[in-house]
Amino acid sequence: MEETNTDLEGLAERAAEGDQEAFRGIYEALLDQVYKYFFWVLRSSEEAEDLTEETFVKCFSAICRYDRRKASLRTWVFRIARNVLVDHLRARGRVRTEGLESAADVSAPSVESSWEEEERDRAVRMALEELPDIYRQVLVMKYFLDMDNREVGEVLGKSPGAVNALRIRALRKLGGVLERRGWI
Amino acid sequence: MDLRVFRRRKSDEIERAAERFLAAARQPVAPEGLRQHGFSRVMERARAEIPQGKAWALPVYARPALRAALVALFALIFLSGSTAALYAASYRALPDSSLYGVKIAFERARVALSFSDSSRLELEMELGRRRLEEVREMGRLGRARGAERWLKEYGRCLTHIENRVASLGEGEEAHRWRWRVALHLEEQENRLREILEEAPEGLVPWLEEATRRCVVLRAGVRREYERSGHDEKGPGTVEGDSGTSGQTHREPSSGEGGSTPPPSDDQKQGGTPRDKQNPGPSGGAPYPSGKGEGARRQGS
Repeated sequence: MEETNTDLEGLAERAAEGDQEAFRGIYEALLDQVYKYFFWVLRSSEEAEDLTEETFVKCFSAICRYDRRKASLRTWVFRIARNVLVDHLRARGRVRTEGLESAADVSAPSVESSWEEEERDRAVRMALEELPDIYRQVLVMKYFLDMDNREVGEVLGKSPGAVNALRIRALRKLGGVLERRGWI
Repeated sequence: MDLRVFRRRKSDEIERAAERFLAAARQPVAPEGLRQHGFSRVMERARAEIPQGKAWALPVYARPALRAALVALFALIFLSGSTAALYAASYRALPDSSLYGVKIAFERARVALSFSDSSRLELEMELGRRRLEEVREMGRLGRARGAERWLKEYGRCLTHIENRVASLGEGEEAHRWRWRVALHLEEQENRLREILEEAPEGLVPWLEEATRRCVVLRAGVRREYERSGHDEKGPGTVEGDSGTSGQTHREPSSGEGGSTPPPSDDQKQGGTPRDKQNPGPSGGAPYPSGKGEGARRQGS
């Protein structure tokens, strides 16, 4: 991971100097992670695609301001992604207004899957839907993007301790939802 | 039964179950379309949304690689500016001023940064003239405070000249330099006497001491000059000596202890009676001269 980060930061420096191929390298390295973040938080692959693109456009315009001493490139990109998400939710006037039904619109991941797997994915999405945004983001970053508490804290603007507390509360809340629905 | 233990165990179980539940979720990957064409769309949008050239030409100060260089550049500019301001402020400082030490430090730095021994000697002579300007100004203002400091600096100047003359070695060039230094010291001595005549009471002892040191050094240089003059056939021509302009034809006088009279009008106009009477220290060799020499040759 350390090597990958160093590579990414080296690419960022080259991109800041105008190397378009270096920016392509960053795009390819972080595309899946950024998409996954939006997918799990918004539960819509179309929106996730749009916001992923939007995030990279903003990264492109701001890459010259990236300072590797302040944060890793991944953290920096996810901070931009989070801002894009907040703007998007604000523009839609939707913070927590959608019902569970919307989860049915979610496009399934583009892999061949069994009925059980699809049911489980649907259950995960529905359970996450019931969590407040901040809990959902913490869980997505911790469990789906493999970020540590420090990285999550940098993205969300919180201390690692606060992130850990949020994680525990989010897990308990998620467990409560799953228990209530009889999934665990 | 302890309900708290039960609750804690239940919470832990729920957390672990939730973690397992999340871990079992399949992870989506970016759609193929986004992977294949997303980058070109990003670049198109970026070019459309960002003014042409702005992306790569973002403020130079925002680029980490150049930030350090810019900071260093600004520091350099600031330091240069402050140094120049300090130099300007201290340029006319008199010995009783707190900036006098700065002025002396700048002068010493200038001497230390000179490339050759001859330019250092030239500078030392120039500094000697500056010391006399200072003491003249002190006399004009009626200020005797700082006279001791002034004498110390003037004495140091003479010592440096003496050391540099001593290290000149032998040869025609060294002979010329001795001649120039002797003339310079003679001029200094004359000026000191002029200043002494008008100096306030408090400055007199310091000026007398300065004159005494100048005369002693001049005599020593004169002796060196005469000695090397016997070894050399003749020093030939010296390029312009700014401090002795108008006096380049004359021989430095050999008087000691204040016996040298001030230069006569003839001397000030570019020659001395001695020039005509005494062709040179080596018996026939002409005295080194600048423009005046050429003029005299043309005249003859």
